Amino acid sequence: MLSLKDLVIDYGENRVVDQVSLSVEPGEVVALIGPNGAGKTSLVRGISGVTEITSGSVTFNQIDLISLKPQQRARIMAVVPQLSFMGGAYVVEQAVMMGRTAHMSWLGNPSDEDWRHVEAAMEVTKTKSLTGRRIAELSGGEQQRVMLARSLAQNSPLMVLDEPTNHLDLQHQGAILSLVRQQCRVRKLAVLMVLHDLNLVSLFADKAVLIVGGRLLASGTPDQVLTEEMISAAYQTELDVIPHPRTSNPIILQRTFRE
Amino acid sequence: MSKLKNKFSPYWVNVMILVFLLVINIAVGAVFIPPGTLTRIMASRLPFVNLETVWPTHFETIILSIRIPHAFLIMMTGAALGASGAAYQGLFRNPLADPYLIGVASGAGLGAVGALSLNWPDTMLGFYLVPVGAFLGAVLTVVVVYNLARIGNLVPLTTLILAGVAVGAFTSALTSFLMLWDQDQIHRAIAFLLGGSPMAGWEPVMAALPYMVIGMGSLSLLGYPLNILQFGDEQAKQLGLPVDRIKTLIIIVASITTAVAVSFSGVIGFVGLVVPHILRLIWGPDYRRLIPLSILLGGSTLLAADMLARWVLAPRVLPVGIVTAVIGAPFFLWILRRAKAEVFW
Repeated sequence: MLSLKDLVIDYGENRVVDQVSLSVEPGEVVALIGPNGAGKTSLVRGISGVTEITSGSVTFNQIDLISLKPQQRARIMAVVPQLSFMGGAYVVEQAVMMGRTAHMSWLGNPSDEDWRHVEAAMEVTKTKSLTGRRIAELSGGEQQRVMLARSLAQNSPLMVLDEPTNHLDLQHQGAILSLVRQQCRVRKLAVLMVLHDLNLVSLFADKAVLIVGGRLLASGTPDQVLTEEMISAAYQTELDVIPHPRTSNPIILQRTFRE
Repeated sequence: MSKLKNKFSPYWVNVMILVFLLVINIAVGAVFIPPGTLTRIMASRLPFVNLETVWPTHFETIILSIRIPHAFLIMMTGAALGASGAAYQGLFRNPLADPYLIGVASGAGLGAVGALSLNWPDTMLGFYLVPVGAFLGAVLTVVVVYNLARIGNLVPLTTLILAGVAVGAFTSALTSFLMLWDQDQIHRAIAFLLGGSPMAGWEPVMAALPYMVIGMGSLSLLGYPLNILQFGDEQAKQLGLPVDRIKTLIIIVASITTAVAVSFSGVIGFVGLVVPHILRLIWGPDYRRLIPLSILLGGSTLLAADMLARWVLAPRVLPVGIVTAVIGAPFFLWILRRAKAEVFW
């Protein structure tokens, strides 16, 4: 179980994450939501060791993630980054193999086991057909599947995703999130995911954690968190919440256009 | 290109090119020595080989005490520049990083000339210490240029080149000052700046060898971390790479490699830019392969440039840095255009 206790992150004078506590169980998808600048990405950077945390603790099954070396941390936590143009010259299977970095020596010679994990990850993400193609040549949806494959190949019990549906169309948004949810169940992964689109949160997350101005405002099932009062206040805009016509999950709409 | 890629192992192709150019480089010069004779002279020096001496004895002198050490030094220099160019490109995630363009070679030149002006090379010990001066100059320069060019975690093309040019101009000016201040060493120092007239004989070869082996050997082993770094510091760290330690290690090793090349052969530009770029176009971006290949092709490239340098104004010899600049600078502009248009480097 991932457990954050009273996490505080400062960027210079600015407190971007303020006393946030939350937990993610194995086999559970928790969505981290909140308006722009709420501190969601900072939180991801903090728990993945990219930025220093000011105080508080981040543990996974009682192991302190912050004090671990990058290699040990990567064996526990895999991070799916936002889409970027980096590493575009590498071919798909090279990129997926990089998920095995924490399991290989620094010469990067893959073992049979490394190949098995890469094969399996490419199988479930349907990226095998992309073998031999450069990442830069792929569409956004394909690139995101490759990044997901890389994280699955890492074979870590905790997966953190930073806006995995950014820049994707409706079809690919659904495909990526279904895949995440399915793998979460099959592999018993603890999944923490930053998501912007509240309707996707409602449909694909088991729990939602709402952060505003670095502070935790609400957490619970999407039904509990995505209420009209709560999110209208959080996003400082008038929103309507209606039940999804098929599943009755909460669906969020702008109330009307504003002058 | 793709046929070439599939048919031959890249190592095999590059070793053949290197051996071919090495033999030709040794054979040509004011006195041409037929490759057959050349091979026999070299073979006669191997243990347990007894060949009848059927060649003029001065051939043997020319080859063994002039041509071979010269070719070896040129080859090692090119190899070092190729390898450190590839490493700097990977480190900065920028296709235009080259020991010369980012000012590191000039910084190393300053360090070397500084060491020379202390009259170190008068003794054998001095020979080994010039690279230390060059190394200090190189590391200092790369740290300064990196911090000037960096915007957040990125090192954009424009700022990198501008910082490199500015720092390079500054260190070159200091070098000129040192030269004029200490006129005894002015000839050697001018050679440094023009990138030419590597030292003659076996002594510099032997002095350079340990640094070369350490520098290029370590760079060859750092290919995998360089691959991971191409995805940015943040992802590299999340994938399990100790980013800061690895980057420091790469800077130190690449700077040793550049420094030793500059110490014994002067400031030679563009080899470290052109060589990795061509290799990347043909055989892809995998640094585990790119660095060893840059060593091989870097050696070949400078051997070829050296032959041109000796031939163009024969019997006079041009500094080889002039040849590499004349060929490399247009290539640089071509890459600059490509780098703006593509993300494939």
